[in-house]
Amino acid sequence: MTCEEFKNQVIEHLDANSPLSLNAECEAHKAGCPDCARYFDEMTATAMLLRPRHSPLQQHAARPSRRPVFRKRLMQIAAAITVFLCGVGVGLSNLFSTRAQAERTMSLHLEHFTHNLSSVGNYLISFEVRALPDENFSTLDPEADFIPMQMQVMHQNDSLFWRLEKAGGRTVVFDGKAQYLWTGNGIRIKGPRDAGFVEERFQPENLLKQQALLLPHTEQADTRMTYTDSTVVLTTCGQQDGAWEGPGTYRIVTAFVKATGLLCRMEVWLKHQGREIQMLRSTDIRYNLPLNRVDIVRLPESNGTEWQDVALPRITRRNTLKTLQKETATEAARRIMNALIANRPQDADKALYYYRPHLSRLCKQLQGCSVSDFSAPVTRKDYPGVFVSYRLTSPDGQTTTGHLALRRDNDQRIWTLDGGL
Amino acid sequence: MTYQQLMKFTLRTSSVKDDKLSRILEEERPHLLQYACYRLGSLEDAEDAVQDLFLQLHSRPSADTAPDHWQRFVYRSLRNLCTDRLRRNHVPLIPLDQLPDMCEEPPSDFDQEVRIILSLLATLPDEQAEVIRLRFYGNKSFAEISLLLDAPLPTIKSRFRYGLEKIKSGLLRSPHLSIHS
Repeated sequence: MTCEEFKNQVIEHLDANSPLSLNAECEAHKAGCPDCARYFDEMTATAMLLRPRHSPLQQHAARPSRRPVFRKRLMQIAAAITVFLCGVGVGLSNLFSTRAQAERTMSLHLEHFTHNLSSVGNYLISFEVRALPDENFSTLDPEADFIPMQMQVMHQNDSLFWRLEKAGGRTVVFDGKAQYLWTGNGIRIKGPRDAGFVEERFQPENLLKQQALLLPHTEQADTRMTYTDSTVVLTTCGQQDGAWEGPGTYRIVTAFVKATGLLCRMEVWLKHQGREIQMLRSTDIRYNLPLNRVDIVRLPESNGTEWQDVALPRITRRNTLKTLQKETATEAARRIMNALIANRPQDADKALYYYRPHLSRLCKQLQGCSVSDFSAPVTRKDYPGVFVSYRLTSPDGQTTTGHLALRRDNDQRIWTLDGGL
Repeated sequence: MTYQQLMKFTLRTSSVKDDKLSRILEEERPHLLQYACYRLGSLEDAEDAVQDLFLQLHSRPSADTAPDHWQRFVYRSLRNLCTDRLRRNHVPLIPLDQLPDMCEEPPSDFDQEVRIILSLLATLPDEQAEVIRLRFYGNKSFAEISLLLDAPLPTIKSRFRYGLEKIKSGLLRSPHLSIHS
């Protein structure tokens, strides 16, 4: 090693993520060359002089990662599988002899399903789920009755259009560029293609990939393929955290037509409180229908309510933005409630942005009330925001406990109300 | 209503995916702050500069074409903001002949440290100083700096090396020097 090469290695040593000590060749050269040894000492000392020791930022906690929450609730996966596991011609003729073989085979099939999804022109899936109309799509409730849902998907050239609707409740539409969500109680929100109105796994390719990821976690004895005269039936079981208390054991049953390899039936069962409850069932699955794109992306008639953009309006005053960014969730919750009680919603206009159509009603409902005992924010594994509870005292002296859902995964990082009123 | 029940009725359940710019800004925020801090000499000024950067980037008209290399754009914008601020609020530097004495002992606090650092870097051509800033305060590797400054990797390493050697030489000219580690 020449001295010039050694000096270059000293610079490499000062690069990010470099090993803490020189390699053996450099050490040997340093040991035999006093000039280079001195060069190494002086350069590293100079670098130390320039490195921050008293940076005020060293006291700051690292900002939490803003990666999307990976939701492991099997019910969501099940719901999405119901909608999107279709359109594949796969010969499912293997019998599993070992768990590893079973997983490999199913993984391959799911990979094939994913690939073939894009080949399907369109499909319409009708199914029933145990849920309430106004609940978000990720939630299924074993205590609720079945309600109908329908999914329409159309591939046109390189574009994708879809519509997911729950009878009497929420609907989400994707028109190729933007998503639109509206509810039965008048909320209307629009956002970009990845607005987050429905679970990421409602995208078909992602759903099938996540089902494949679940395969290693299914219990061997319950993972099986069986055959009827015309269908192949795949059953998987596994433990997953649900939308209700504690984890649950779910049994997913999918059936494929032997001749076409297309999904023809889907069921999801939950073992809940000692019994098995069917949570989701398909009622009709049809492919390559004469669907009309205009009908798929049709929005509701105007009712005087404006579409709220999911992107918050820009706060241009720097001090205002800074103040809101520094606010804790508890402080935001207190400000929101006080603004509504005082009939001054403008004091929390950004936080209440998605509730603009309901502000006058909310102010009227809370007139004369008082609030206290705001809690520290509580996080839940399956929600990207936080919850803050409070005590509400009505004019007649009655007290109740309320909860606000708040989130700040917007690019201005300010708290907004996401539910609870 | 419990949290569990409330969660069923929230408007959105999954996280909103940021656009590329927002994601970069969020991930880079600590590095941007530190870079600005050791450019401007105070955390408060650095926060203001980064805030200005965020506002500036987000208030671009929607018709603007997004730059191809967002990270490079972000750091260049911040560099310009810092330069503008320094023109308005000049940070008092330590005279060259006093620097070696100041470097004899480790700096006792942030204010002293940042004055020493700014004064040392002020002895360099800006292109060398910028590589050192991005390396030590932006926490970027040489490869990343090469992309940010749109310069070949060997050039970046050379600038870093010659900048460090120049600072070292300047300090070593003083008979009082003992570069502490």
